[in-house]
Amino acid sequence: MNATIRFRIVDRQLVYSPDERLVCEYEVQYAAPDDLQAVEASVLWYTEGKGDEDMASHFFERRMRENVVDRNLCHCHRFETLLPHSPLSYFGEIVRICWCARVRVFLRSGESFLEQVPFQLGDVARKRSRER
Amino acid sequence: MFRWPKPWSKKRGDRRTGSPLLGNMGEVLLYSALFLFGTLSLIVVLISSYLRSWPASHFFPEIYFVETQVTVREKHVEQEKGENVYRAELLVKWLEEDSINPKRILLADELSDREAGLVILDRYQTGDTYPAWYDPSKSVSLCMKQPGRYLFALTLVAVVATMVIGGARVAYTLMDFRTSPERRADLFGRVAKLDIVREATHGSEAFPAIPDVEDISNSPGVLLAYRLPIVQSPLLHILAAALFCLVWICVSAVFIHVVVSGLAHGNLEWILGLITLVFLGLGIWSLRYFWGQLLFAVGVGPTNVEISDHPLYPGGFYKIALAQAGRVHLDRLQLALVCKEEATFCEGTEVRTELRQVNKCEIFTVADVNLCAGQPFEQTADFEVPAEVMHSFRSANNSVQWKIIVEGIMSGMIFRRQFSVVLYPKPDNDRVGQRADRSTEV
Repeated sequence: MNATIRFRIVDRQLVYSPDERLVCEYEVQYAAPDDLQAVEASVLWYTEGKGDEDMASHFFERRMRENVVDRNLCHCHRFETLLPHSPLSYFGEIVRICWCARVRVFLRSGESFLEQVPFQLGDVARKRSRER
Repeated sequence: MFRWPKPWSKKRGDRRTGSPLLGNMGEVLLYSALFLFGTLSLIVVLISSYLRSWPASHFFPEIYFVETQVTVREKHVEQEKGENVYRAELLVKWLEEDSINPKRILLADELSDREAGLVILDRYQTGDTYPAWYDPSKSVSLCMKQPGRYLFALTLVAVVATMVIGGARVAYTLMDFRTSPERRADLFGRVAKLDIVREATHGSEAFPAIPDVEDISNSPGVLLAYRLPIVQSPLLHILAAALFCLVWICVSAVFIHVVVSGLAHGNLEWILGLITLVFLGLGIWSLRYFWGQLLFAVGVGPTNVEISDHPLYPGGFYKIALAQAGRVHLDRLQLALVCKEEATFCEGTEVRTELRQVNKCEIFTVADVNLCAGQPFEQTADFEVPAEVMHSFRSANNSVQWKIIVEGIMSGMIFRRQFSVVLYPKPDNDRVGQRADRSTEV
């Protein structure tokens, strides 16, 4: 049985600037809500390309079943964060920096489901790809 | 087709093979075994040493020794029967369980001459009392030198270390198994914000993942605000070239000796001769390279680069001053702002680093530069950092580096000196986004 995650960035833009507010909203749909153990929401960057992957979390929130109202993690939940000054999204030749908002749902059985929405921070990446 | 899952993983591009679950299980089993081995060993060592039983009584008898006092009655050097070997011995009396016992103590065995035995015995005077050590359960164990207990201590340290490493890794792997990469990244980020580890991580709180500027901006210049530090001293290049040249020439010399000896005896080995020629060629090339580096070091003096402001920003205008000392003629001297991407990756068991130049802005190029003693080449120039470039970036395996590079050509050979600069993202970034037509829903 798969969990469905409805996840979106509210008023999504093509490109975000540093210090801009990023607002996200998610809702978990699962037939047996009692089997949900935790939901993690994060805003993070990771690298792609030739090198091994690096990752850093800018925003992280973990909601446990025991700590939410009604002990139900399926309710719609919203989180927001101010985006940092760096690193900006970048699509270089051997190094790429990607930003995304991510939601991960954990079941009691140990299974987890993931949904993510990429976004672009800063205009470096856009200008480089336009040059090409 | 059915495939056995592999416990190890391999990364090719974005694809990764192997089973992390099996890998984690293997790691847990390995470290559990280590933890159990350490714990059992510790229990056995401690209990056996308490009960005076094997293995402690056999491997660490010194832990049971106690101090006593003995009085020297006689001392003498004895020769082994029929052999030219001597033994230095003491005859002492000591108080054991309320009775005075005579005891013979061997101080040194298998001495080659009598004089050596007498020197050892000179430390003791007949009739004097000295401290001695013995195991109360074995009266034959009396000795004049305190037995060291380092073996027992070392064994305890090794056993406890094995237990701690095994236990910690099992706990870490089990915790890691149920922890998402985002949570790990968050924990790492929190730790990196602590003052005690901030120096070891990259970036400040305001500009994460951008190298610190303090190391670059802490040296004032003479003409302009900052003097930039050189990335790598040319001395290291010379030392590396000298070492390589020395090793290669030594190897070549051995080959030449073997070939010439064979030739002198009329036994020329052609294959060995050809290999020797290749080695000799490489030896000559390494000597020429080393000579070139040495000439640069002697002929091309220190390079100073000063800059009007730091850190740099995209689209910013800056002044830069170059002072190049030396005593050579340069065919060309160039100053440029260069951006390089660096990626570190594992390939099999090797860790490799790839460096790629992605941007180069020439600041100035001068032809036919005559460097004379006491008259360095000096030039100041203005330059603009391109507006649409990536800022400096550094993480554990990837980086975007900006450098000022001084490059000179002398008789067809190139020398290059690099000075790091840090480029920050454009300040007061206007809102660059456009409203998307639709919101994204997954």
